Amino acid sequence: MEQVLIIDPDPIHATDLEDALHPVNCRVLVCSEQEAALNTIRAEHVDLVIMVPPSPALWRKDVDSLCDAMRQLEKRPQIVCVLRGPYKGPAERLYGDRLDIKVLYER
Amino acid sequence: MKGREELRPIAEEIDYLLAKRRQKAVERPRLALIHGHHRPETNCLHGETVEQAYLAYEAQEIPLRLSPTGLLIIDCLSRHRPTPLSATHIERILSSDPFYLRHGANALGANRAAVRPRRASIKVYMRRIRVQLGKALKEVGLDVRPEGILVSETTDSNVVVYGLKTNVEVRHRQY
Repeated sequence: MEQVLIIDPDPIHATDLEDALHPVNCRVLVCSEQEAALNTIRAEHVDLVIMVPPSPALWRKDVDSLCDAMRQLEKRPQIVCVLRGPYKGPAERLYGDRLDIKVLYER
Repeated sequence: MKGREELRPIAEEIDYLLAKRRQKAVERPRLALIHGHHRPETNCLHGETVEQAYLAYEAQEIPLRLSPTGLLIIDCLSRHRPTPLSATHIERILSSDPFYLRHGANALGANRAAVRPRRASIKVYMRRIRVQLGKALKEVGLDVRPEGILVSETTDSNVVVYGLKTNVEVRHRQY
């Protein structure tokens, strides 16, 4: 079974997201911070990482550091960044494309 | 607090991305070879040219930037699939098979010099083909090593043999 890791500092939101993923045939792991998430990724085979940045304004910094850390991995999981906040135009998704990550909006 | 319903579009996207990842793991890239100066009602007859080789994956086709010799070597490997060939064997085929001896004879002017690489240079071409395959694989976003497509194995007498482990499609055009 595929493994999905949620990195979300908001425990209530992380639980909601975990619940929403119930119909998807995957095992869900949850970490509240990036450092612990990286240890999990190194220890377990993770297919997809859902990153929910604490602040939509600083999400690029968070995602950059995650991508940097993942570069050393032999098999990189797919990264999805969930932005909580208003849509601010295509620049965020284009930035994600450059890093090969998928940017989704939670409305 | 968000409900499950509100987060459903995100869950559906995750479901799709996981399925896409599974599909990528199973689906293999293919090679497409273009033969030029084809005569109607014939099939891969001598006189044709090997014009281009592409790495094809889903709807994408990435041209491999190969020299004429590289193209002939990849064509030779595809014709003899699944038999693996040594550099000596490839050298012999390229210098005796009418397709390669008369390569491009159908073309107007037909002044193409026959390509006859030596055994040692064939090994260099294998490396170059892999470099091009690697670039194309990266371009289509596949995490596949070129050595998994152009494979080399060692025989019991320590001779390295090469083979293509992928589907190859040959397309013809009349110019």
